[in-house]
Amino acid sequence: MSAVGQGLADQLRAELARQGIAVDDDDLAAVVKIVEASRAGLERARSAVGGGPPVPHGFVPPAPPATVRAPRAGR
Amino acid sequence: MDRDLAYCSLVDLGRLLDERQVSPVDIVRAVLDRVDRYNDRLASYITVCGDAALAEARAAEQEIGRTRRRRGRLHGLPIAHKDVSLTRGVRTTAHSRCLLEYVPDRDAAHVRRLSEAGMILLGKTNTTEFACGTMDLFGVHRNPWDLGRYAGGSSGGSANALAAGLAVAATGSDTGGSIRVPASFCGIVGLKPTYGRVSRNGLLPLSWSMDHVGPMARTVADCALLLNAMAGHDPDDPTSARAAVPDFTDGLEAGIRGTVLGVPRQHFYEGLDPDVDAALRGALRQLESLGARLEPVDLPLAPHVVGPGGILIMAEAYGLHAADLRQRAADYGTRTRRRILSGACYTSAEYEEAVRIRVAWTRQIVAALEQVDAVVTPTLPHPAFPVETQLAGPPDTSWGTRHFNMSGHPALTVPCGFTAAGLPVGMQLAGRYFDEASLFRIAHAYELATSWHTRRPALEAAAA
Repeated sequence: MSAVGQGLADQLRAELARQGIAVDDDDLAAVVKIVEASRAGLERARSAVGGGPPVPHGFVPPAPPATVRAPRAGR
Repeated sequence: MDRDLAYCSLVDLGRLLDERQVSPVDIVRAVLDRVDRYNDRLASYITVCGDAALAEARAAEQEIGRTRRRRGRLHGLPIAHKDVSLTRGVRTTAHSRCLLEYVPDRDAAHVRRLSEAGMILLGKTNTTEFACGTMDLFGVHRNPWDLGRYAGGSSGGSANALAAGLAVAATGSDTGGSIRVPASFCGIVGLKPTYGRVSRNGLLPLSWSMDHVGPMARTVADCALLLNAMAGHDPDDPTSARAAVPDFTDGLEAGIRGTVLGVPRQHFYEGLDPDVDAALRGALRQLESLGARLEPVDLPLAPHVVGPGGILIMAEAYGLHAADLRQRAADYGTRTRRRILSGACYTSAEYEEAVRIRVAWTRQIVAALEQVDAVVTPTLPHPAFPVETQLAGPPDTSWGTRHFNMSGHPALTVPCGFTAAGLPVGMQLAGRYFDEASLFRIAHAYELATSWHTRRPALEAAAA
C-alpha cells in the first residue's frame, strides 16, 4: 500500500473505530479501494461540472472580504 | 402462443383461464415441475412455496368456478418475488445469514397488491445479499443461456427464473440497475418505474433515495399488466407519489410513428462490446423503420454519474446497517460487509457534493426529455460475464442504469439481440416522470416487430 493509501487506511480505521466497528486488515484494504475509487469518481464529476456542481436551490455563499477586521468590542 | 404453459405470457395464460382451457392448478404445476428440474442448476429460488402455491391455485380454481369469472386479469396466475420483499408467513432472507430465520408477519405493499389481484405466491427468488453483495448461502444465480455465466444482479433469481420457464411473472428491486441488468443478461423485460410510482413499504431497504420496486416478465404487455396492480399511492411509504395510475395496457398497440427517440452523444454508445454495438445499431434502425425519429441528445454528465451514485447508495446503506455491523459484522458476507462499510467513510461534504451532481445530472436528463419522448441506450456495454468473474470481483454493472435511479425517471429494458455466443443483449428506454405508458408502447412496438423475446435457452441440452 502506498504512503497515501496507508494514510487513508489509518484514517478510515480510526473513523470506523470511532463508530464502534473493528475491521481486520483485509476488510480495511478493500474498503480503502472502494473509497478511493468513489472519491476519484467524485473528483472527475466535479471537474466535469466546472469546479463544483451548483447548489440545488441556487444559494452561493458571499465571498469573504479581502481583509478581515477584528471584531470591535461593544460599548 | 407457446404450447408450454411455463413459457406462456401472462396475457395468453389469462386467455386460457378465461376460456377454461386450463386451470390455475395446471399452470402452477407446470411451473413447479420446471423448478423441480432446474432450480438446483440455476439457483433461481431461495424458497419455493410448492404446497402453498398449489393450495392457493386450488382455491383460485374454486373461486373462478363458483363466480364464473376471474377477479381481474392477474387472478389465478403465479408470481415469484425477490427475497428482499416481505412475505407474510414465508421467510425473507435477503440471502443473508442475518435474516436466515426471519419470517415476516406482513406482506410488502407490492406483494399485497399483487396478492389482492389474485396472484399466487410461487416462491422467493435469489438475490445478492441485501441486494448488494455476496451469494454465499444459496448459490450464485446462473444464466440459463450459458450456465457458466452470471445471471446479473441483484434480481438475478427473478430474471433467470423467467428466462428458463421457472416463473411466468416476477418482481425485483432496483437501486442501481438491479432489475434491468439481470433482465438484460437473461433476455427478458424489466421495468424500474418512476421513483414514487410503486410503494417500497415492506421492501428491505438498501438506499432510501435510490431503491425502486418493479415488474419483470417475458413480454412488455406482461410488465404493463403487473404494473397496473403494483402502482398507486401508499400512505405507509412517505416517498410514494399521488400520481394518477392509468391502465398501462391501454395504448400499447398505438405504434411509434412520430415518436422522437433520443440517442445520447456521450457515454452510452462508447466502448461497447462489438456484438452489443451491432445489436443496438440494428435496434435503432428497427425503431426508425417503425416510424420513430432518432435525435442525438447531449448528456455531458452521463460519464460521471455512476461514482457519485455509489457514494449515495453506500452512505445510505451504511446508515441502515450500522447497528448490525457493530454487533454482528461476521454474519455479513465478505463483499457485502466491505461495500457497506465503505459508506461509513464518506464525509457529509462528499455526500452533499454527490447530491449536487445528482441534481445537475437530473436537470440534464429532464432537459433532454423535453426534446424527445424517450432516450434509447444499451442496458449494459457487454453481455453476461463468467460466474468466476462475479466471484473474483465483478465489474460495476450499473454503467448505464444507475443514471435513472439518480434522476428517478422510469427505465425499461427489452431484449434486442444476441451475441455470436448466444447471449442476450438488452436495450434500455428511459422516459419522462410517470410516463411508463410511453416506454411500454415503444418497447411493445419493437417487440412485435422482432422475435428476440421468443427464443428459449436450451436447458434440456445443457442438462444432457
